[in-house]
Amino acid sequence: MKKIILFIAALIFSTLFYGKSIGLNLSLFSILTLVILIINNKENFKIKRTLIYSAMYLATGIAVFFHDSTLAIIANIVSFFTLIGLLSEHKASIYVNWLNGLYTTIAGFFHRNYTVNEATQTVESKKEIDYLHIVKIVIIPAAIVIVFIGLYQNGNPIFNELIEKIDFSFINIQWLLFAGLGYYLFANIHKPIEVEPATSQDLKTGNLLFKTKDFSIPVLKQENQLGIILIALLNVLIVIFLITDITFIITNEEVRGSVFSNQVHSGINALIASIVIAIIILLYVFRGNLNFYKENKTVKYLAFTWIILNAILVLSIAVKNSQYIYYFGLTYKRIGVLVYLILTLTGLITTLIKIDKTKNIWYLFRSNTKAAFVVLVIAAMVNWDYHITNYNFNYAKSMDINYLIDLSDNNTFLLKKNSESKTLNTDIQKRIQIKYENYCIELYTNSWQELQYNNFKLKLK
Amino acid sequence: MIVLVILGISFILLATYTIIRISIACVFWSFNTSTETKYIFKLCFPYYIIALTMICMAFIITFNNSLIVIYYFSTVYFLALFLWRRKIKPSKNKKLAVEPNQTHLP
Repeated sequence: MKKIILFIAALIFSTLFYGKSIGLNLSLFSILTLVILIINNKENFKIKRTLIYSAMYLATGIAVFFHDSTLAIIANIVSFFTLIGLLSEHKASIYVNWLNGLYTTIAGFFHRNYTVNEATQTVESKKEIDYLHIVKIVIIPAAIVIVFIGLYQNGNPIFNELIEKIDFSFINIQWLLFAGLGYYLFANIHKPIEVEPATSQDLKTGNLLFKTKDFSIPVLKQENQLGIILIALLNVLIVIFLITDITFIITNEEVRGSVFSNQVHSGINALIASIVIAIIILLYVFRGNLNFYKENKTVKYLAFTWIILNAILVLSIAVKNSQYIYYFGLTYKRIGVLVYLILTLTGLITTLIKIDKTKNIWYLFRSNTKAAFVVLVIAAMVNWDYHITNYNFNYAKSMDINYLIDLSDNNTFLLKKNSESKTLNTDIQKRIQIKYENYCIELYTNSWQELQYNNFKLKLK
Repeated sequence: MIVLVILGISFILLATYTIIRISIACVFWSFNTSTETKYIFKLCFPYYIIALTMICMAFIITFNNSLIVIYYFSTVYFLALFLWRRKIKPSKNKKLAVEPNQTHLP
């Protein structure tokens, strides 16, 4: 029964993807994958976490249909691996899920068939398949039948006519091979597997720090003193930096592109260095027994202050970036800066929790990779090209129209609408018209597998 | 001409086989001879096959999804799986070099 389901899924896979570009097919593939996984892993789908990750996977699949963006496709692929990995071991960290998901997709079938039996300590094949026998029962009768057909063809004109009428030209070998690839893919993923010992090692590693045997008060006293002096000095430094930075934001009335550009970019570079060094220093200071030293309150409070000041630095950069966006328009790089700031803020918050709750470095890795994944999925939900165009036309003080034309086709209808309602020079209008016409042709020639939400918009026009 | 093409294809296939065979052998050589095959498989095969697949996909993308390149690297992938299978599943005919102790014999 399972083989029949996989076989049908393989045929659907080939129908969806063979010779087609990405569109509705990826959304349907996401649904198909979920169906296959639910059929084969019913128990796992009772877990809340699995349901959330499945919803994320489905949402990215639908996002591909709505705005065929590269980001949505990447998010869909990443959530596919995450979901598969989660089904192999739902308690593992997200990066182990990615590893398990990748391995299952690449070689799940092979691993299951030649897995190591822990009980008997033998490498065993689940079913002995006599390939030679299969070849014999297929090739030998086929060859003999073909020879006899040739002989009978010469002996009987009606039989000859009948044979000549048979036309196998409808069989597309490449389509069949593609279906074979689909079958292999579904055979791999239907029962996810684990990479050992990475998974078991990850499960063994907790999130908490523990007091070690070499707990020595004199050593910790010295470490505590060093931590206090170091973090206090860094606090003073960042306070001075923030005062000058905020003064600049408030007093700088003259808006010049080069000034803002320099401020945002140098600010970001400073931020990258400062946050990374901040986290490394805090990880070093709070790496071990200092967490359990009774008189560590001062160093802890200084560390919390430093984290909060770094968060204020993040906010000041965000303000500068948003001013930059307001005056010179929205671009991918400026959105990238905002995404980076969100991730940085998450990193700072998790570092704060790590120190407060005496967590280890694995906690930081786990929570931050999870945060990055969530940000990726949320970012994939947004049709950025459309929103960049909409913001730049309606809210920004100035913009680069050529940049908007060079964006993907997702903003084409909006560009066309604005070119009709706003005064643009003829050269720009011509470029927008060419982009619009090319996109309409592309949409009209789309097969059902390549359909996008814009196809329906075009039909309504 | 046909002979040359056949010779060329045979050479490429032989070279591919040798390279994959050596790469798998290198994995086993990096362990002590006493280390069990199944342990090496469990520890190294996932990373080996992930790395190989990534390399194959990188080549396929570099060559703009050319059909011949896709076929070649698919062959490389399945050949690697076949060779790993041979390595972890010894043939039935293989005789042990050292006979087990037979205490009932004089």
